[in-house]
Amino acid sequence: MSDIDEVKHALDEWLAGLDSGNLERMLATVDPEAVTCNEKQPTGYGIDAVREKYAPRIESSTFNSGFDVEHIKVYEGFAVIVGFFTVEVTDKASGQKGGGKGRLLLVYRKHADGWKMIVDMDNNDEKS
Amino acid sequence: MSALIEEVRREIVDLHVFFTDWFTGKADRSELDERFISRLHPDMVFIPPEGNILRAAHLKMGFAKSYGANPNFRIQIRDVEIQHDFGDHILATYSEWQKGAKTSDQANNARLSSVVMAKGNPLIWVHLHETWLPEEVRASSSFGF
Repeated sequence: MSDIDEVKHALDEWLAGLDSGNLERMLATVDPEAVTCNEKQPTGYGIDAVREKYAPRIESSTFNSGFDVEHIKVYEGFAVIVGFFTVEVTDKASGQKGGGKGRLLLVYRKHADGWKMIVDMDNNDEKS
Repeated sequence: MSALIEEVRREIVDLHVFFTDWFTGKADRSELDERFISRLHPDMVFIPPEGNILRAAHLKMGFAKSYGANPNFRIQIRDVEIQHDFGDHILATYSEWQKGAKTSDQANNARLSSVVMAKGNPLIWVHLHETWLPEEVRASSSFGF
């Protein structure tokens, strides 16, 4: 598998984990030193911040996510992906639907056991 | 790392000093390439908080049209940190505080930036992504610069 395919596989694993409610599957693709910078939200540092962010969400909701890769570049030891994400969120208790979409930057770092996301930065905006 | 962080901080601050000089009309028009465009990788990707994707050519065109368009514009750079050193490249974050921005919804705004730079002399901007900081952070901070 090429580096690009491996990076895409890590991203697909994250999305599959989110959509199946499997937090550990998601976290297996996250670097211990991950930085999470979502629009108008506090910056998160480390994999525990990712766990604390997603654990209650997965507990309370189901997800249906998509990601359109618009730019991908592999460098020595890291890779940059830019794309457009969509996510539909359904509250398990009430059935109420919500969600979001926007542009997303993901940076992955290469580890012995695969590529892991080290930066997640997004904009909640219309595609342009 | 201390020499590198100083180099990265200086690069980021110097570029934004140029932005201020450019939009306020203090820079000379001939400086656009030397102080800005030449620092960008030919395949550089820039994503501002609005979420659109811009390339170096878009930036050059946009800057050429906006010289001196905002005499009261100011920028302050804060919290420069190298998050990761990948050998040939570094990944840094910083916050950018703008005052008197005519083209943003909020004239006084604050954004968080992540930048990938190729090491060298000079450092070259390869990827830049910006997103808005939390409103409570923006609202409670000083724009007295």
